[in-house]
Amino acid sequence: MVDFSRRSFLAGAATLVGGTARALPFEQRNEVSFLKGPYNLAFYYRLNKAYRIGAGMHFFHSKQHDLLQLTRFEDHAAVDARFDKEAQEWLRDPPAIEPEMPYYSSYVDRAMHTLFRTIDWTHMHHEQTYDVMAFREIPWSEKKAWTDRAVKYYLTMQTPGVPRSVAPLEVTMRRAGIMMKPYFNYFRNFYPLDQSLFYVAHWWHPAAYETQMISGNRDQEVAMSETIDLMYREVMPNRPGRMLLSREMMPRYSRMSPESANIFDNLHMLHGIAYSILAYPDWSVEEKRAEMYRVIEAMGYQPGDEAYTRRFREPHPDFDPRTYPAWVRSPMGAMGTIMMEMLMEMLPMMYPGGLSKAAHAGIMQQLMKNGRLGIEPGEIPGSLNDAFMRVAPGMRMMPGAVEPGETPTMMVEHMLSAWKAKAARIPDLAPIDMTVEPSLGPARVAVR
Amino acid sequence: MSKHALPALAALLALSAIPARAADHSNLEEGLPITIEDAYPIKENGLEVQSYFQYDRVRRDPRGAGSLMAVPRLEWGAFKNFQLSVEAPYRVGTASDTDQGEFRAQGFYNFNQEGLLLPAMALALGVNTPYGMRAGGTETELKFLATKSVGTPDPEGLSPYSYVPRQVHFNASWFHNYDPTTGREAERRDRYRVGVAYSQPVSNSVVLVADIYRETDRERGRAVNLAEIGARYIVTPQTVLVGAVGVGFGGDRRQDFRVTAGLQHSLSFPYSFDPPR
Repeated sequence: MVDFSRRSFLAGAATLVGGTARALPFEQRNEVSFLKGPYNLAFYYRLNKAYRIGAGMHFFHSKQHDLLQLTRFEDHAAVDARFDKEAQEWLRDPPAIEPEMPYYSSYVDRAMHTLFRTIDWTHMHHEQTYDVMAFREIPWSEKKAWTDRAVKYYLTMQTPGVPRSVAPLEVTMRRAGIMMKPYFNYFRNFYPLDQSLFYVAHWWHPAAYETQMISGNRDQEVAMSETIDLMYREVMPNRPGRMLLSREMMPRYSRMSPESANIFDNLHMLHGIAYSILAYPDWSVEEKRAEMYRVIEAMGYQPGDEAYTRRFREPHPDFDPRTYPAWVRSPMGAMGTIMMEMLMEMLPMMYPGGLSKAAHAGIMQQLMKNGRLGIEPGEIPGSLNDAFMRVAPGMRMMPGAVEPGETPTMMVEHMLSAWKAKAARIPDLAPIDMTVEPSLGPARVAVR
Repeated sequence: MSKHALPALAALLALSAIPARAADHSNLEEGLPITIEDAYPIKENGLEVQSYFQYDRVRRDPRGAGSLMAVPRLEWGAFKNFQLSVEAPYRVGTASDTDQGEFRAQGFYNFNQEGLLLPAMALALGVNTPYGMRAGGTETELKFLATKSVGTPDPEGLSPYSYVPRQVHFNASWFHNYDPTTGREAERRDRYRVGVAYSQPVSNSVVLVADIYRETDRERGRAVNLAEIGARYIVTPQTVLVGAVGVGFGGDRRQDFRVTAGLQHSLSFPYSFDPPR
């Protein structure tokens, strides 16, 4: 009896200690300052309206975290509509200074600080690279060298796992292995207004870089005012239907610095995943934290990623960011292609016995609907996993596919191996010639 | 050096600060503009020039009632979670502790980021060496700092500022004097400062700050008992302006009121890079 009591006490104490440790995660702050250079704040002083638009976006970017975590999921439609209105007001009258993530989301900062450290560290890199491009005293031919310096600082100064990968999303999304997770696309489906405003932000950042790339050192003010005008006049009222990738929106900048281009794509993808995790109502904050940190690690920079930096194709190499053609607004683009390829690689493992034509068609239909904003007629609400189970029962679940903080290792390895085989046939993206400084011409629509 | 040279130097530093970036108006610093600070250092590799002017209306001082202190400070994020700072405050005026200053050096280490339950905690160790007329003995300061957030009154997020950090800060310092003066103005060998502060952003650019603290004075029988309220205003991404007023309380208080104004500024130098041509 005594022995039993002692064992019970020890077990109880262990549970208490374990529970306390989970509730009191000890995490160091580990913040690193910006890279010093003569170009610091060139974007702020020279292209202040563009800087302020970024600041407005970072307001709603920041606040969205706590909003998703602290409001009830059942209220998603009202929260979505209300915050879209508030965010638009901040975008139309943006603040003077860009806030860091903890400023408008104190709760998530305390619950999972590494998420914000990752985001703000990459925003710092955004600022550095904008500044390099905006600083007139850096000759055009030296823009790449200064950008490379900023990339090196970004990759080496923070603790491992925090810098985003220089490999394209084809690699990092396979490493993350999130398609069957129960939160997948929750934000896109249940908060479509807010999500679409982030699509505007994902349009804006590469559009700003590419505006600098087509303007040279001389004409950035004129070109940027045209891009800003386009955003207010056309992009905000008729928002893009997907997350636009660097290779689509800033083909010239991507050729100059594919490392930065991939870093930004990987950050923007992390935003969407983070919001979906926070929006998901059936996990505790500790479970969300575990999954968040797993995804951050998987999509972070890992030695060897450099080998794949230029391994992607540019669908619109002559795109002019001062235009807004139909393909930019379309819900289908490079990101959708990546997801479709991943699913094709996964299906044989998920359904080893094969799929009937009807089940296969059902899966494809649900994938397409799930990938678009909101809940469409015929779409099974919830995760892609739920939808597949309904339209094609009998799916074999991989270990780690749905649990928080777990990686479906077999699936990830299979997908990575399949992509590497494909990538071997993709030529490296050609570098851009920076010896000739561009001069601004009239806006031209790239229809291809 | 004339008695006004150091304040003038501080003012020059303040006015000539070169554009840099990322001064953080939500990261509190001692004296900018209140005395109690948070448990967070500046970021690794960050380099800041900080400066403030502090006027105290001193009571029951036979020599006079006015004391104006100028504080030039340099702060460096030496490595992750650790900052080093050096400063040279100097006081002018009619009060008895004027025409003197100090050299101060301090190391500050933060142990952890604040969690949902666990406060952020830090420890700082500093040395203060006074100089000038009637200067006292060298002191060390051991300081414990903690920062803890309080929850939001608006979980529905109806205001843009619903989820901003509303933080309570606690500081406790033990000062030890290695060579206290004796005689009519004898110094304490050991003394303390303890206080709490509250900070909260009230707009995108302004953080409201307030504190209340008690610090036993170097001189026996007197203490600094102050309640301060002020604001930190980020003017550009690299520059923060600060201002505060304080009132004394308690029978042994040293000053009736205090006014503080200053700035902090992140530097863009030194750097070195020679791009390949």
